Amino acid sequence: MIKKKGFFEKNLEYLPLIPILGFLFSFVGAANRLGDIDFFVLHLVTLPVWVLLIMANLKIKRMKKTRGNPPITQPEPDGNREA
Amino acid sequence: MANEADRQFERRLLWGLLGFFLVAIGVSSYLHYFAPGILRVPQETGLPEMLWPVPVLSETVGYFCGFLCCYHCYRTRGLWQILLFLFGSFLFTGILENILILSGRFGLVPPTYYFSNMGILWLGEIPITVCTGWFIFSYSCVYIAEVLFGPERRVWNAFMGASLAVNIDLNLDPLASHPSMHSWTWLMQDTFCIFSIPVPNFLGWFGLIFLFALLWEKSRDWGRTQGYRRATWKFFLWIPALAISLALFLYISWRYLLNPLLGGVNLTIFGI
Repeated sequence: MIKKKGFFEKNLEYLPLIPILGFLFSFVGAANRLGDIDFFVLHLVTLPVWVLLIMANLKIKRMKKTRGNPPITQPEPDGNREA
Repeated sequence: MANEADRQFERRLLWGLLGFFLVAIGVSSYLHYFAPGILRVPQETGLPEMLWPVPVLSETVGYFCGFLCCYHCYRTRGLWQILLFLFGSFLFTGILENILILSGRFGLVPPTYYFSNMGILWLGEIPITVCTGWFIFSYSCVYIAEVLFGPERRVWNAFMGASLAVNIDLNLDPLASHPSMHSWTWLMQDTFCIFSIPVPNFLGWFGLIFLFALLWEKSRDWGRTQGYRRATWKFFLWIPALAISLALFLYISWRYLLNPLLGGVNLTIFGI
């Protein structure tokens, strides 16, 4: 039985990246709240996270392109739905 | 999970764990707000009026981000695996952080730290937001490593996931423990610090995520070879053992390695 895909299904692979991105942006908000320019510069410390996040994003995009987007079927009874 | 008995076990596990944690959270929150003397809650850890949006926002955003990770894990690995990851990370964090906080508060070790303006509901003396945060960081960071390096390199993925989380904390901790934010307060004296944050904190971040990610991956093997029931018991018995060992390791490295060798040193930029 084929189901129509919702937002979460369409972007399933990206879902765990969203909280990390959210955290990184919330640090900017927090630094702004403190009003201390040094805390903005401290964001440079998280440069490796940004790089890995972008790389993961590109790799997921590439994987989705090569694999295509198979339609979501009913969950398998054994719950083992590893890609 | 192939048969009906296993599926029934999965459902019972869900309700059992949910019930256990709801009772623990209810009792802890009651003790924190209405009987603070029992756990010697520092007086300032109520909800300061001027800071009220912070706990509410942390709680709401934390649950939403947690939901995203839960949904992803459920769709890709199934209910059993997400139950183990979610409640396992709550238990691991709950045991480890409560040992570190309460042992300092009750005089077993010198004072360590405490949480203040971080959330509304509590598990022992740590806000639920912290458990949710640990769950999100562990899941997302290990997932990023899996995407980049392939799912078969388990130890490397756990290592990279933990390193990624420590990297995020290098920014998060100085901000959150700043007196204006007041999410938590460090009480450790004369220890080795990076950005004014005691180094055992970063060791703890690394150790928790590295060990938990390895244990969770191992539980899948146990599930396949020994059955899901036995694998679940093994998983939840390993967690306290690892949490207590990690707490001991952190205490020993803090008191007998970092303090004597590098006590009072603070690696900082711009005086942060």
